[in-house]
Amino acid sequence: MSTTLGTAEDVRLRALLSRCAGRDSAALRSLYDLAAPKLLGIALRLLRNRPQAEDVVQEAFLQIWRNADRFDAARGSAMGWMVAILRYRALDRIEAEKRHTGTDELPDIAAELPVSVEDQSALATCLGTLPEAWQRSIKLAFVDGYSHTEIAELTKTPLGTVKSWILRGLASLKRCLEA
Amino acid sequence: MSDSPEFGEGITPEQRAGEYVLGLLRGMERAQFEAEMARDPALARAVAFWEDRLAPLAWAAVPEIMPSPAMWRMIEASIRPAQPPLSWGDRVAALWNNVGVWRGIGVLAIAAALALAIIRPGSGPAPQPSMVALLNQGTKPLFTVSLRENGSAQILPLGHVAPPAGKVWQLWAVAKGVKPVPIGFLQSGPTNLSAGDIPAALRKPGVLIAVTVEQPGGSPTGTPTMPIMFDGPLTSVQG
Repeated sequence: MSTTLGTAEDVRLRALLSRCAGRDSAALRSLYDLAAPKLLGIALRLLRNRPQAEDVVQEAFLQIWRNADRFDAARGSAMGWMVAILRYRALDRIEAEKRHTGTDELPDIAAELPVSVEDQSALATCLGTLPEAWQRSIKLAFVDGYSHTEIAELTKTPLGTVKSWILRGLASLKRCLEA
Repeated sequence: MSDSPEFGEGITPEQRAGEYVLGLLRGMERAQFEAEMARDPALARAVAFWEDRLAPLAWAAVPEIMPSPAMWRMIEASIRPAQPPLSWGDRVAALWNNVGVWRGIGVLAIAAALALAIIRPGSGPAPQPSMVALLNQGTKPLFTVSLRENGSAQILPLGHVAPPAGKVWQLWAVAKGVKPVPIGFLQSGPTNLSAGDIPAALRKPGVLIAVTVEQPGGSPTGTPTMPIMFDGPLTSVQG
């Protein structure tokens, strides 16, 4: 499976994960220096609360440390593995706190997703082939942690339509990414 | 991953996995999906696919935010072994301030450790040691040191431990008021030191045998660059 981030950067992350699996705490520190600012950015975007975001990043790093030996490079990038760990911790918080009830501030997602150099990924290309509304719904879920219902409210679209956009978007993405 | 009617009309397992990774399955739906994923390796693979492929979406969308210094301190405190490595000064001072204490504890612990070391199968008949030490990390014994009359020594592990990847364990002999003397490198398996490795002046009770993590080839300065990982004082064997 090809990686989706700059390969050189991911090779570094993978090497550090493998040293973490060997209980090298200096490697965890290096991993933290490389990835914590980005993971904190992701957590803050999901939780909109700095202390909670810091808690979640901290939990994620402890889980990365404990489970480093379970990372399998054959199944994907180190970055994807770490982002997934972080996101599930953040989702636990969102579920526990029933957050995201105040949905009046709808971020302008499209404006915040510049196509950077690293973003010349297959994902960016494939997303670009989807209708704008489908792209937006997928980003509101993944980047902002909104539920189906919240996305329906935010986009003033019937719930069934939102669910269908996302399912069809996923099916198209899958085909495009595997093409 | 065959047809899974529980995913609902017309929804493929790949789509359901995508919804899960997007964070759209909540509460019972999420719990049920995770249970299903634990049973179905193909579904777990579909999840791994989406986790890998979607990650850049979040990675590219957010700015980096510098964590507060307290965050690393909390992580570090959580992963640290129960007994943190002590600084050289603290460790040496503590030992010599508590000579009576370590003698009392040491003799019992060393007797137990020696019993282990001597009955170790395959080690063959070993000459009776004249001095022994038990290298402890906190209260946990990790290695036994047996120093023979001729000055050679054998160091045996009590369990499976290894230095961090890309690093070595360097051995030091430390006497009060003298700077630590490098005496060799410790392996995860048995280590043998030759007669000349430990200077005769340091082959006496109370001298501390200590281990630090150093770069391959050992400390470039000839003195330890890192805190003591584990150590123990030499004790005479009454014979």
